[in-house]
Amino acid sequence: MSSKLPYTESELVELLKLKSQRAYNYLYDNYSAAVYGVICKVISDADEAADVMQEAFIKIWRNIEQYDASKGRLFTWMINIARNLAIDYIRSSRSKNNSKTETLTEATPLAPGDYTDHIKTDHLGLNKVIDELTIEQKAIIDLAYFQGYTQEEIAKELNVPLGTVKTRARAALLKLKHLFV
Amino acid sequence: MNIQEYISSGIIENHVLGLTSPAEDAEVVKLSEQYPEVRQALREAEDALMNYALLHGKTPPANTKDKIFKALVDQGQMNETPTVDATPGFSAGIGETKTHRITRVLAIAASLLFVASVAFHLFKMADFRQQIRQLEQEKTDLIAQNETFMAQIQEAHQELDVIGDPAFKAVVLSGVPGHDDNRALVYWHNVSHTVYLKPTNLPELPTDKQYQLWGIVAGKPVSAGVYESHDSQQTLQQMIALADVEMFAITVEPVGGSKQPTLDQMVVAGKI
Repeated sequence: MSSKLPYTESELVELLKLKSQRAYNYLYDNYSAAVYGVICKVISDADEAADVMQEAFIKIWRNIEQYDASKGRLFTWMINIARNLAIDYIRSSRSKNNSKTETLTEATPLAPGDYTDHIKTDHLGLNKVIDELTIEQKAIIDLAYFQGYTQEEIAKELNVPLGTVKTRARAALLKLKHLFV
Repeated sequence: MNIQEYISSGIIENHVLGLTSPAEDAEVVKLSEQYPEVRQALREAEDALMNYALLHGKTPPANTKDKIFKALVDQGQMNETPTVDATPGFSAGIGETKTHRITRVLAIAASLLFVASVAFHLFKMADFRQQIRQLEQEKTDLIAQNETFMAQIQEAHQELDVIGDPAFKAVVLSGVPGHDDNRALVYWHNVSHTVYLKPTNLPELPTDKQYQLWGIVAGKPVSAGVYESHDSQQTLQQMIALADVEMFAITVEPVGGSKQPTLDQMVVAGKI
């Protein structure tokens, strides 16, 4: 990915902090799909997901000053913003609908195959990666990274001890690292 | 703290998945600033997850980008007119095409104005050239006129000098029978014998004829030269000096004059 960049990440961040519209344009062109993909993991309705993405990109532009490179990558920061907005959106729309007043943890537990249903893309690369991951590893990443579950929530969701969640999380990441890095 | 143990504990991986507590997050950040190995492990975990997330990318609806830029402009977060730094992908929605159109209209207007002004100046320049030619012609004419006047004044001065000199004797040459109206004046200096001729009323001659002045010396005609001018200008002309002249006469002779006067061609004559 980074080989395609005309900017290094630090240059991009610097330009964004200077409110360069060009850098922002670049950011959108290169990361909007990933951001939208993450939002779509949480919000199934495409229009609602697009609205949340708009909110996320506006927040990224407005709050770029708050991004601290020492805490992690720009991408991680952006994904966190997008995912948090998406989760907030789902929670508030659920409470508005009065269908469930419970928190996400207490919502109807996901059926075992439910989280994998989100992965519908037939992207060759993705399928290849998914084939390499175990079902457990995939579930951990989906719940933690895409759905924003806590360790406790995942433990409950998957009905495994907390320590297992931690171990699986590490194993999943090591597998990804092995595949990508 | 054993850093290798910390790295292999799984806390970094749990951190990037968002599974750690705020205290643990702070610890990871702090240690990543202190230990390059931790930072390296953190970056690798992030990049692995980023690549995984990129695989899940979905193209957002086409108008989302425009909506975002428009919203940022509306909120006063971004300039309406994209700066030079706008890229082609950054399209219509926020007035870029409008700006382009205005720029194009302005450019066309400026070009037309330029062409019009060049045409106007070329036209004016031709006009000025014409005026300069006219003025130069007028100047040439005036110089020529001036030279004519100068010549005439000089002649008049010369004539006045001659007339005003008491040593010059004016001899009136009157028309002989058949030329009764014709008349000429000869000024003759009786010391230096200088002769001047001034026709006062002589008819114009054809181009092959000239007036010739004769002095009668001791009963015989002696040529005093031909009068150069063919027109009726009554300019004073110095002739050949003659001594002991009794009488002057003018005959019409072929151009260049004759050795002997053609007597039947005598026009005027007068005694001293």
